[in-house]
Amino acid sequence: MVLRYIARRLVMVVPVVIGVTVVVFTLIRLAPGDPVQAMLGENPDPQVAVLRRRALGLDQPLPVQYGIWLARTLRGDLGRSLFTREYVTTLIFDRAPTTISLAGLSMLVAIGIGVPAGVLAATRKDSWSDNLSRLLAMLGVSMPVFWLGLILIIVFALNLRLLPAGGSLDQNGPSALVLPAIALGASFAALIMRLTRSAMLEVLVQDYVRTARAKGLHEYTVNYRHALKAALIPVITVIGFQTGTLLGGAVLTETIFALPGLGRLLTSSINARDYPVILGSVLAVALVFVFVNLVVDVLYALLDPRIKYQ
Amino acid sequence: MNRPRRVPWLHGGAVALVCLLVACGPAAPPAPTAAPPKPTTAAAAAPTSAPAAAPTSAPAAAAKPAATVAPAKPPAPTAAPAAAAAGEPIRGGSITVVHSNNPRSLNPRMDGGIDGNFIMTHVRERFLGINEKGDIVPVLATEMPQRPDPLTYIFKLRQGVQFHDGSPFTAEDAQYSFNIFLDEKTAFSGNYRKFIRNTEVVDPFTFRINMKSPWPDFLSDMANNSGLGILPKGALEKYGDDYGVKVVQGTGPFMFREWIKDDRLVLVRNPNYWQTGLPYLDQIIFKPIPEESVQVINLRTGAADVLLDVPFKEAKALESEPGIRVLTHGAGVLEELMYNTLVPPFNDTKVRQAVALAINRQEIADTVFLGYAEVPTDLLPSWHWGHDPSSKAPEYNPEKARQLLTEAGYGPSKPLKFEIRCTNQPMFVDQAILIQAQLAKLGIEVTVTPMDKTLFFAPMFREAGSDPKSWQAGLEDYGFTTATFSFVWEQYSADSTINTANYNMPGGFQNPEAAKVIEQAAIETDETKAKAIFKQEYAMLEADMPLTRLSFLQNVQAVRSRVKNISALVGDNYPFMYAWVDKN
Repeated sequence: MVLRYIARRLVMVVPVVIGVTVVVFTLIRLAPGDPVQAMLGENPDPQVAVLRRRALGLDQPLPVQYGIWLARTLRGDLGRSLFTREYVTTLIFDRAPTTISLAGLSMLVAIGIGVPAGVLAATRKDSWSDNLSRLLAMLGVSMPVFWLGLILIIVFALNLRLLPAGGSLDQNGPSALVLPAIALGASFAALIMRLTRSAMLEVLVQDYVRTARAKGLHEYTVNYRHALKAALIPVITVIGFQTGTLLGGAVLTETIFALPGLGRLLTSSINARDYPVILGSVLAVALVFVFVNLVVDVLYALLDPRIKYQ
Repeated sequence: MNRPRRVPWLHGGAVALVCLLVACGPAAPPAPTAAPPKPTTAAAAAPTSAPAAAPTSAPAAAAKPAATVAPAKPPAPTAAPAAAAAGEPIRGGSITVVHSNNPRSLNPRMDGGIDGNFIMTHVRERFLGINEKGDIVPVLATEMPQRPDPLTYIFKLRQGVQFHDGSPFTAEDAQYSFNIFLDEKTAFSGNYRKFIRNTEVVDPFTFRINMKSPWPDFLSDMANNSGLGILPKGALEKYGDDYGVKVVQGTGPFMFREWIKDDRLVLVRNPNYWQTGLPYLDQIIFKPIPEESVQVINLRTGAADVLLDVPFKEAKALESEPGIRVLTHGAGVLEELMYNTLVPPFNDTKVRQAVALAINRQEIADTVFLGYAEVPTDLLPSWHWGHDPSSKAPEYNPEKARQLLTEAGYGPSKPLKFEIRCTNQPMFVDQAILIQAQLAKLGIEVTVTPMDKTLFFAPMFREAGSDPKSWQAGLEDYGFTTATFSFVWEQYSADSTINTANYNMPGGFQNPEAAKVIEQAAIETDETKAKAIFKQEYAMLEADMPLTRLSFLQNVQAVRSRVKNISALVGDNYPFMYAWVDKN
């Protein structure tokens, strides 16, 4: 049953991804400027510009250009950068480890802080620790990632000189990811904390929790083995949904911290109107987003046997 | 962007995570390589600012160039600006240079963008270059070209020069490179195809260029156009798509090592560079960091040694910071308010003059540019040889402006209204808003419209599909090269594609006398005569006012004190060829 569900979801990926690429393809073509202008500089020679456009196929109607791109993509060829002639797939695979590490570490920060803080706040409802956690969560949700990123850089890189202000993994090692991961994960941690708290508050008054306590189980076991498992269902749903936000945040975070990841690849290719790289990067991000959501849906059943796949 | 000072909240878990990851933090920086032997006294004396100061070549008598360049001074060594104070150069070491944007491309057929072009000047040398005073000097040529007739340029090429792959540089390589520059697929080939008939290899070290018609700006373009770096014959065919990504060949003081886009571009010392003893640095790492405040933090923490382009407000703060020097130098970037003389109200000279008189340019230089700018007093910036030191600042006279407006038919009952367009960068928007406020004092109603660069330029450059009458006034800057020609001709000649005011163009404001003077200014090679023509041209332009020159901006760079003998140079020079680092 689960396999059939997964297969059906995978089929649904196709229209989603095509829809995303159609929208992106149209939007970038509607934006002012084109790659030929970026290649030739301001005020280019008109004849050179015409030749370039023809050579790149940009003189074709938009649907034809999209069709050519789609046909090539279906053969596994995302094309080459218009500027450096590097293969888009190579660029994506080169950059993906940085973004995946950043997203993973941010998630770790968010879950590592958000879930325990949420449980703590729920089990000590209305105590000073609950109020403090809620206050901090409010702050975490309110702080834009770029602002928090700059603050972290000023404190930890400039004033304390503890961590680098970004840079690549191969030059600065894993420490290059610490500040970006905190910046990116902070608001997510706050969200998870608030969700966990409210979900736990609902679960803690359930009969089976009372029964567990009546059986004399340790409070830790009641909270973390019985209550939290059920309370995690909505949290996991949000984690799935928030993956897209996390990847979006990675664009900003990578820009601030000068991390050469997928987000930075996307912004620099948008600036240069490097169409194949833009489309390839968006496609990669869309696939990751859909895949993570699929994984989340499958995880439901593992966490809550009451959920059945139709 | 103002840097916030508040200390953020940090969750205990995050602190633990930070500590954990700090513990497994970066490896110690690699130990410096063994320092090569110290340069001899002679080599130490070599770092002059003139790229062509070849120790082996006697400065030949330079032929007069057609364009108005600095009167063809021989490439005699001139003292590098900071050399005297810098002490004995030390060889070796690496510096990290932070800049804003990735090179767009390193392929000679494409425009590399400002950053790419700047970086590539260290790798691919040209026949001619520019020194820190804005003079044209020979580089791969041994002297300025001979001109047996107005349509012929004969370049004597430097012998004993090697490309980075070890192959010798000859006229065959020059011809191969010029074939690329003349190819219609090359970004800047337009003028080259228009003016150059063909090229000839006269002998292995003599190269001849035959023109179809005179091109007054030819030598200036050759000296300033960073796309004209010479590459070895067959390089593009040999390396294919890897050229410009994994391989770049040239004869320059630094060799291309690697380019990881969005992360770093690394150049290493060319051990066989033809200027013996140069360069001093073993390595330069160019690091693109888009966020300005993060660039500055990298400099402050020592992660960066040089910031190529310092925001003015950050420069003020850095000036008082220990261990950091802020370098400024006059530059060729001119902020300007352009008027479209095709349409009302700027088809009326009195209106243009009135607006110019009502703009307080000093206030703009002081507030928007925090003093890192000078108010133009003639056509050329104060560092330029053609500048007239006796020239006075343009008049700021609101009363006279009011009078002119009245004569033009505007007043309280019929206020002058117009739109200033600008690209949506804060620097331009700030200037436009300040001008809006200044003009409001006279009852002039200005609408400021920031917009995308492409939309902004299309009607100004009369691009196909755009309406050249769709704009009234535009605020932009023009990044002149250091060539005099750019300052005196490019924005005013009816033959120029960037004559945005449509001055002396069909439908635009006409002044045939001024048109003649502008063309003379472009071709006069005698310094004294040229200065007189510039003065005459300036007076005519001030009267006709096709655009108001607001400010000449300065180049502002910041460097850590350990980096010696570097200065904020004028144009596409080689600021890092003479730089060295103090390892103490």
